[in-house]
Amino acid sequence: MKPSTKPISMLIVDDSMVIRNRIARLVANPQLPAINICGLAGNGEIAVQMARENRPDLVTMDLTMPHMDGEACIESLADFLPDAQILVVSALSDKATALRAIRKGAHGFLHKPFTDTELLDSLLELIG
Amino acid sequence: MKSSPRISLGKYRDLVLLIAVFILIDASVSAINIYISHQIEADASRINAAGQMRASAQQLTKGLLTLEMEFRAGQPTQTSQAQISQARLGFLDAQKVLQGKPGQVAGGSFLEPAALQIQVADELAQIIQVWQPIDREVAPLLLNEPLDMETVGAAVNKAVTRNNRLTQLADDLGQSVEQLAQQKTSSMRSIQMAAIALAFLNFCFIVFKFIVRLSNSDNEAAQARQETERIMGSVREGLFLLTRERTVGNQRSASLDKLFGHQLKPGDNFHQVLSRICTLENAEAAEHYIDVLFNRKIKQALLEQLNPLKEIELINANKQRKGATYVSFEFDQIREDNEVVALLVSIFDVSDEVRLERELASAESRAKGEIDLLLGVLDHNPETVAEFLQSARRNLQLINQELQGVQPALQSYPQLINRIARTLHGLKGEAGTLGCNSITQEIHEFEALLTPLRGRPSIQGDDLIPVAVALSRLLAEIAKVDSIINRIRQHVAGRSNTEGQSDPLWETLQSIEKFALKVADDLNKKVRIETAAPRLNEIPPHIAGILKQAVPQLIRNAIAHGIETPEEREQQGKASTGLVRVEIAHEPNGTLTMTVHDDGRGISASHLRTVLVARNLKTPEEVAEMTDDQVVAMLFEPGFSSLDQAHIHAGRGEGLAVVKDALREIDGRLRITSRVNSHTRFIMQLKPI
Repeated sequence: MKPSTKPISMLIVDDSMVIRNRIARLVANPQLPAINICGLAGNGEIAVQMARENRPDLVTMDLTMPHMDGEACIESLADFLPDAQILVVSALSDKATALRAIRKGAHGFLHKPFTDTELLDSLLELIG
Repeated sequence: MKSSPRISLGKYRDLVLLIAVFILIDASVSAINIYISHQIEADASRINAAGQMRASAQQLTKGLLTLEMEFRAGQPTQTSQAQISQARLGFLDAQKVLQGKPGQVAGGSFLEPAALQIQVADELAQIIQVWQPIDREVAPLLLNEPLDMETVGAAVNKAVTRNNRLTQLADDLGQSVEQLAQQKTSSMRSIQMAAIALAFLNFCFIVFKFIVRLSNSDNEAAQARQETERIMGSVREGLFLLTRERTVGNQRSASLDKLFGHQLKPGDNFHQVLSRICTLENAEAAEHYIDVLFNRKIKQALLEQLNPLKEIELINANKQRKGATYVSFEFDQIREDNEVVALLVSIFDVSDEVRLERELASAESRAKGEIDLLLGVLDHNPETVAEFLQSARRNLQLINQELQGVQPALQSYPQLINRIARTLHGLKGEAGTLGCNSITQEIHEFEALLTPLRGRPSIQGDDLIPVAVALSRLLAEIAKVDSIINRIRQHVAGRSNTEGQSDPLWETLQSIEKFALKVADDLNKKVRIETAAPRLNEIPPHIAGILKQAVPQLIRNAIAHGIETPEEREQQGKASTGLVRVEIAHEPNGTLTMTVHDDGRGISASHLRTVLVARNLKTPEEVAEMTDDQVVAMLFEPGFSSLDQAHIHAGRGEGLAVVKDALREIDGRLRITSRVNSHTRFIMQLKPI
């Protein structure tokens, strides 16, 4: 990751505003190092565009989204942001689809619905 | 890793030291050997010198005698003069050697016994003492001057008189020097032997040390191996390492055999093993999961939720394999130099857990059913419930008798089935109102059994057997609830008469409201219930019948068919919570009206027309000729339902027929007003008796 002087930048991708805001709120937790939210995207297309502009270090990614789904989005991000850590956050019960997304270039998986602690632990693991 | 060379040097330090000492001793032995050979050489030259001294003395005497003879005969003397000179130089050379002049090999004197040294020095001094007068006389003979008889005679005289003595002394010296050399050689040999012995001892010690060390480390390794074997032999989990090549490692716990029979051997391809012991789907998912885990960028903690090998059922194709039926696999990344070099695979037998979980779930649902029953029944007046149970039992027993006595005829079977269906539906409504959920459920299953029979063109006597079985099950359930109710009634009777006058109508409406909320909850709809009724001290029996049978049916219809889902309502601009209102009112002429109103989607005659055609209940032509009122009236025909799928609260097409029957019994009237997407209102008018 980046040196500690520079805050980690993070992009949140989810088609639900409730989830986006919840993740954004949890990221401010003092247990985590300073994380700067550089974008909230409601679908894959916006996410790719935001990622090109802000080059985030961390991305949380929903899988089922309109316009461009998570899988295609991960593939695209992994292409031009090879060092970004991508955490899939999905309600998908089908493990095979989730695994396919991981193989496209994501680094972790968190099942929706998640508790605050679960998200914190996942982010800490991802950063650490 | 980096510290290992230092560790090994520390471990072998004394061994290295011993080897250094060995080399040192070897070098010393070699040095001693060289020294000894030099000493022997020196001693030999000293012994030679002593011999040479003797020989030179005799040669000198002989030369002098020859010179004297030649001089007297007047012969040339050069040859004898040269012989004398040679002998003299030989003597002087030997003297130098014996005196240890520079340039000779020195040292070694520390090995020579002092007494012998002194003896040699004494003897040498004596020789020189005897020799010097001779040398003095001889020296003038060797000058290049003419000889005179006197000089020659004096030299001969000296030499001859001292010759014996000199020879004797030189002999003695030779012996002494030889003795000295012998003694020295023998001491040097002892030193050499000692050094060699020391080197040998050292060598033996090294070998001993080395063997001890080897056997120690062998023992340690054996002990470690034994410990590993013990752990692997007794650990309950199946353990092994999965290599990057996806093969099973050599170290594996014995419990693997218990878990899988003999299907998992060292060197086996893990994916092939998986495809034999679990479903192809699982095996394939596991392959992808393992691929991902070998990616060094992936952390296993973030992927545990995706592990496809949790609580998987093992395939037991030929029923021969013993062991676990359900297992969970866990994978731990083993990293070296930031690369995942292997996965530690732990396998747990979770058969018992899965079985317990299932038993617990079924026990929970059973317990929940019983508690639901108890709580549901407790919400209502036990007398009312008991009354319902009694009448239900009576009705069902009547049906039972009919079932036994029915005449096999073309019409009688379908008629009986229809009557059973209608009775059941009425009972279902009442049971639901009174919170007897287990009975409601039993009736629902019973109805599901009847539905296919009703569509059948001909019904045989055999078809009625499952009906009879279901009937006895229902009766048993009713008896069960009855026994609970009786206990509650006894309990209540024990402490009754203390409460004030009750309001039976209000109580009935309360249970109707509870029922409505439950129906709405089951159908995922939101409903608010409003009731308006005058206070009555007792409910007239004809009204009680309607309240028990017709009102629940109408409420059920209102919620199932009328009220839309919250989403649908929002789309139409309505409040997401629907309204169902039950009003009971006295008219001035003594008529009692009961109204069930809902603000749902209303009754659409055109929708009903399409349903009638779709269900083959009417031809398109027949439908076209019917008025809207006639179409709506079809709602009251038995077997008509506008819902496609039957569920516990609607869709059997019996509800409104039950209402119609109940009203007919007491000569009541029914009116319906409705507007699409606005409301539906059923108004029942009951004449006073």
